[in-house]
Amino acid sequence: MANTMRKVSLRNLAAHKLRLALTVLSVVLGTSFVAGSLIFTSTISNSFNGIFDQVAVGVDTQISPKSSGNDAGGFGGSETLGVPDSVVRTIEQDKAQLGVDKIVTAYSSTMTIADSEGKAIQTGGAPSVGANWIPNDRALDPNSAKILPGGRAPNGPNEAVLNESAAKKAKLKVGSRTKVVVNSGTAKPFEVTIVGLMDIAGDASGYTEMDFDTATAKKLFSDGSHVANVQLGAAQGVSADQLKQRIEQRFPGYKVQTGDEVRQENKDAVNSFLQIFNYILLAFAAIGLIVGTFIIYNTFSMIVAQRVRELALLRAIGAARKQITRSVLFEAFVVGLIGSVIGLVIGAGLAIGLQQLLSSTGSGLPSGGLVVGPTPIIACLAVGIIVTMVSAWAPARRASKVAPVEAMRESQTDGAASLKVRTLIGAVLAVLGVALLAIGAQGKGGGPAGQVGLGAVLLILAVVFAAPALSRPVIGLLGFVLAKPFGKLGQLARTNSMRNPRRTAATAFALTLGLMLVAVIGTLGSSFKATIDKAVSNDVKAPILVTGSGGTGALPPTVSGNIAKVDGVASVVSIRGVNAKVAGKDVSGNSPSGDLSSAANFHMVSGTDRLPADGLLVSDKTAKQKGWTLGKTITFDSKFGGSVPVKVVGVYKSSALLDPWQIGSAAYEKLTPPQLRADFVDLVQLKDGADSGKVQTGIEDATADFLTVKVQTRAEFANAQAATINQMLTVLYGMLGLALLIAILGIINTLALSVVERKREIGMLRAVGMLRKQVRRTIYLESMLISIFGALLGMVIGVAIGWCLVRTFREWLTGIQPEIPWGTIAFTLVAAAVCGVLAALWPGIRAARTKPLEAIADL
Amino acid sequence: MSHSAGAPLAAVPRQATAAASAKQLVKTYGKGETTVHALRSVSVDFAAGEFTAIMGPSGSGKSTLMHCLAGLDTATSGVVRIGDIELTGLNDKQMTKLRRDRIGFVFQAFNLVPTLTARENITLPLDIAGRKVDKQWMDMVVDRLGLADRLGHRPSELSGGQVQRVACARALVGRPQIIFGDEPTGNLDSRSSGEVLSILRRSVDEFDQTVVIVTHDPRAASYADRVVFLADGQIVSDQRGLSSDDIFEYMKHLDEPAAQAGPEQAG
Ligand SMILES: Nc1ncnc2c1ncn2[C@@H]1O[C@H](COP(=O)(O)OP(=O)(O)O)[C@@H](O)[C@H]1O
Ligand SMILES: [Mg+2]
Repeated sequence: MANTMRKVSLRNLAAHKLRLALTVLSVVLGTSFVAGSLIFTSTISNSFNGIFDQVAVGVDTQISPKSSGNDAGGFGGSETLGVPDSVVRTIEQDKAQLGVDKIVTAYSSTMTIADSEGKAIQTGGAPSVGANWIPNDRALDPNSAKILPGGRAPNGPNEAVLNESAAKKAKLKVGSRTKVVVNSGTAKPFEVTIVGLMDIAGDASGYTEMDFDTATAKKLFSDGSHVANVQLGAAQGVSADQLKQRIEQRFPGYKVQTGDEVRQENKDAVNSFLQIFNYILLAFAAIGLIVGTFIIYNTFSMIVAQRVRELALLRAIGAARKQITRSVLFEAFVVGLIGSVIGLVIGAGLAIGLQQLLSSTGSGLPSGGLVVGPTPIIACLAVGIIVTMVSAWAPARRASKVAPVEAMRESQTDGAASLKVRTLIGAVLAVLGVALLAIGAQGKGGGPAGQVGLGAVLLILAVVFAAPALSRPVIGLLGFVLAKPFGKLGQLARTNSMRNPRRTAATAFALTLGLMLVAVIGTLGSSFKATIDKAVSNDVKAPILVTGSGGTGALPPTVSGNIAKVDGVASVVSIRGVNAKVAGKDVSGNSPSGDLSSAANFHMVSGTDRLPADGLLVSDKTAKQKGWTLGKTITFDSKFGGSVPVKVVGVYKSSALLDPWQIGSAAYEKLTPPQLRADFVDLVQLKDGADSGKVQTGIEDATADFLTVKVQTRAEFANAQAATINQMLTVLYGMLGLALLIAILGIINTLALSVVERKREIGMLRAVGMLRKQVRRTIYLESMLISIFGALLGMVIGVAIGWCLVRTFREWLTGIQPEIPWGTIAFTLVAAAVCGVLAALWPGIRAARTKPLEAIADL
Repeated sequence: MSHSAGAPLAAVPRQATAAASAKQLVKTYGKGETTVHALRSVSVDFAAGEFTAIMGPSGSGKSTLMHCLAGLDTATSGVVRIGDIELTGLNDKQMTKLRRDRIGFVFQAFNLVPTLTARENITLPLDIAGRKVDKQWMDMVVDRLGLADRLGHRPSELSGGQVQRVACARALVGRPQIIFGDEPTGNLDSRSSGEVLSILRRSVDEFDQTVVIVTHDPRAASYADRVVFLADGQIVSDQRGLSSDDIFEYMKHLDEPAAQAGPEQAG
C-alpha cells in the first residue's frame, strides 16, 4: 500500500504540471534568496580576504592611536591627531633594545581628487586617501607598492603618484595635472602633477590613494608633531608577538597590533559591512518564505479539496488515515525538494548578478570566483523542504479526515469548518497588539519602540488568524462600492471572493504583509521628511546653505572664506562639530563661527540667543538631561589636552537642527586642533536686494576648487536630507517588489485552481448567455477585490505601526510628528488593484474558454 | 422540409414560422474506427407555442440533438435555425448572445449560481445582458411558480423541486423564443417532477411559450403536445396526443432491437 500511495502522489503531481509549477515557484522565490545571500556573502568575503592577505605584509607591529569609539556628531572626520612624534623618536633611540629593525611612519588623511574633467573621483563608498610614498628600499614589504614603468616617485610639494585603478577611472595619466583638496585642516585646494602610477597590493575597484613625498604628506595631513601610524619590522630573532608585547609595555594608551591582527581587523570590518547585505538578503528570504508558506498552504488545501472523492475512495478501499497524511506530505516533500534545488541554482545566479551590479556601480567590491560552500546548499534544501512540508501539514491532516462516504456523495461539501476559534484567537491577539502599540506610542525611546515592535508582531499574527472572518464584511463592503458599476458581473465577483474566506485571506496575505512593510516605511519616510522640512523652514533663517558632498560630508574650513567674498553675501556662519569631554564623559554638539541667531531661529526659553565666544547655548532638553541650567559654568575638557570653562547664557526650545548645544568660537578653537577642524554646513545670509539665484551661482564658482561643495537653497537642502532617507528606503521597496511578485503568483495559483473548481458553474453561466468577455471581467474583478482587501489590511496596520513607531522617535529627533503618506497609500492601493488584474489575466482567459456544455456534461 | 428517410410519420401540421428547426443534422464524434454517429441526418421543426418532448433510449442522441438546437454545440453538417436565425456560421459571441436573448434553459443539475439568491438567479441572464426586468411579468411568473416567499434564499436553502422551479422561472422571465430542458426532472421525485412539468405546460398554454424537453420518463413526456422518438441517431416516430401509457408501450417496443427497422404507430 505504501508504494501504491507514493505512486498516487507522484502521478498526481505529474498530472497537474501547472499546479506543480506554480507551487514550486513559490518555494523557489524564498529559497533562492536564502541561497543567494549565503553564496553572495561567502563569495565577497572570500575575495576581500584575498585582498587583505596582501595588506600589512612584513609588518610585525603597528602602533596607532586608540579611537575613543565616539563618532556620533563628529563631522570633522578623524577625532585624533595620531601618534606623537615623540613615540617615533623614542623607538628610534631604543631600536636595539626593543628589537626593532625598520620603522615606517605613515601620514594620511581622507582627501578628494579631481578627475581629468575637474570633477571629484567617485569612489562608490571606498576610501579616498592621501598618504606619504614609502620607497621600496625603506618599506617593510618591498612588494606592497611599486611605481609602474614610465613613472617615478613624487618629489616636492606639487608632485604625486596615484594608484593605477583610480587613475584609469579618472582618466589621469603620468604628466596630468589635477586638483586635490584635503577635507579638513587649513590647507587650500591645490594642483599636483601626477608623476607616476602605483601598483598597490590588493588594488580594489573604487579605492583611491594618492601619495606625496613624506615632507609634503606631513605638512598636508598632520599637525607637524603626529604621525597617523607607525609600522615596525622586528630585528632578527624577535618575533612579532614579542615585539608587540614590548611596545605595548613601553607605550600604553596606544593601539598596538601585529600584522596578523591588522589584517584580521580589516577582514572583520569588511565582514561586518557585508553582514548588512546578508541581513537584507535574509530579510528578503524571510519575506519570500513567509509569504510562500501561505501560497503553499493554499495550494495544498485546494488540491485536497478537489481530491476529496479520490481520497475518500482510497479510504474506502482501506487506506489508513496516516497513509493519506503521509501521501500528501510526500507530495509536499517533492515540491519542496524541486523548489529548493531550483532555488539554489537561481540563488547562485542572484549572487553573481548582485556582485556584478555592485562592481559596475563602482562600490569598491572586488570580483572573484563564486564560492558555494556546503552551508548554502544545506540551508537552502532544509529551509525549502521544511517550509513546504510545514505549510502542507494542515491540509494533509484535513485530507486524512475525509470520511469514506464522501466518495458516494453527490455534491462536494465545502468543508467550511467554523472560523470561530481562530477568529477569537485573532481578536485577542489584535487587542493585545493594539494595546501595545498604544502604550508604546505614549512613550519615546528604545523601550517604547520595542513595545511597538512587539505589538506589530502580534498584529501580524492577528491578521493570520482573523483575516478570513474579516474578509467577508470588508470585501462585501468593498465589492459594494467598487463592483457596483459593473452590475451583475461585479456582484458575481464580490460573492465569489467571499465564498471561501480562508482561501481569500491566505491569498491576500502576501499583499497584506508586503504592503504593511511599505506603509510602515512610508510613514517613517514621510514623517522624517515633514519633520526636516518643518525644522529647516522654522529653524533656519539663512536662504542659502553650503554643505560638503564628499564621503564625510565635511567642508574644509577655508571654504567659508571664499563664500564671504562673493558679491551679495552679507555674512557666513559656519557650523562646526565639537567633540569633547565633560566630567569624564564624551559629549558632542556644535559651534557656530559667528552670530548664529542671525542665521537661525532660536526660540528662547530663558537667557539670550547672543552667543559670546566663550559662552554656551543649550536646548531645554539638554538643560534638563545634563543639568546645564542658565548661569551655570560648565568645564569642557579637550581630548587633546587643556580645558575651557563656559557659561550657559541661554536656553532655547529643543529642535531637530539646533540640538543639543552650541558653544562659542573661542571655546571651539581651544577644544579642536586646527588639523581636525571642519564645517558641516555654512549658513549664508544675503545682502538686502541681492538676487538669490545669482549669489548661488557666485558661491558655486567661488568654491568650485574644493570639488565637493554643494550650494543649496533652504528648500533644496530639506529635499536633499529627505532624499537620503528615501535612498535608504529603496532597499525596503525592493522587498515590496518581491512580496508583490509572490502575491501575484499566489493569486494566479488560487484563481487558476478556483476556475477549475467552478468549471460547471462557469459553463452554466456561459450557457445562459454570459459572454467570454464577461467571464474574464468577473475573474478580474474578483482578483481585484481580493488584492485590494489584502492591500487595505496591510495599509491600515502598517500606517498604525508606523505612526506609533514615529512617536517613539521623539527621543532621538526632536519635534518629529507622525505624517500619514497619503500619496504612497493611494499609489499602493492602485498598484495592488493593477497587480490583481494582471494576476487574473491568465486564469480569466482559461475561465472564458470553458465550454457551456461542461455544465451539463457528466462529471 | 422532409423527415429522415425511412421514418414514416404521422402528418404534423406545419406552421409558417417554426420556433426552431433542424435540417439534415449530422453529428459524428471521433474518426475512423471509433467514429460515433450521434445524429444521422435529423430534420425536425418545433412549432411556436408547442410543448415537445424528445424521447429515446440512452445513447440515442437526444442530448446531442438538443445541444445542437440550443447553440451549445455545433453540428458536423446540416442547418439549425432558431426563429429566422441560422446558427451555422455564428461566432462564439453571436451564439452566446443568441442563447442569452432567445433561448431559455433548464438543466438536469447545476442550474443555479450557488452564491446568488433565487431572485438574483432568476434575473441573471437579463442582468448579464443589461436588459431591464419586466417587473410585472417577473411577479406573475414568480407567483405562478409559487416562489414568492423563496426569492431571498440561496440555492443551498432550496429543495430540489424548488431549484428546478427557480430554473424554470429564470427561463421564463426573459420571454425567450424557445425553452430547452435536458432531463429537467431527472433528479426529482414524482411530486416535484409533476410540479415542474405542469409549470412548463402552463407556460405553453397561458403564455404561448415554446418548450422542448429531453426526457426518458413517459410520464414526463405525457405533458407534451408532441413526442419525437429518437433511436440510434434518427427520428423514428413523431406523434401527438399520446398518453403516458402509449409512450411507455412505445418505449418498450423501441428497446426491442427488431423494432428499429419499422416502428409502428403506438396506441
Ligand atoms: N463528447 C462526446 N464524444 C464522443 N461521443 C459522444 C460524445 N457525446 C455523446 N457521444 C456519443 O453520442 C451518442 C449520443 O449521445 P447522447 O446525445 O448523449 O445520447 P442520449 O442523450 O440520448 O443518451 C452516444 O453514443 C454517445 O456515446
Ligand atoms: Mg442525455
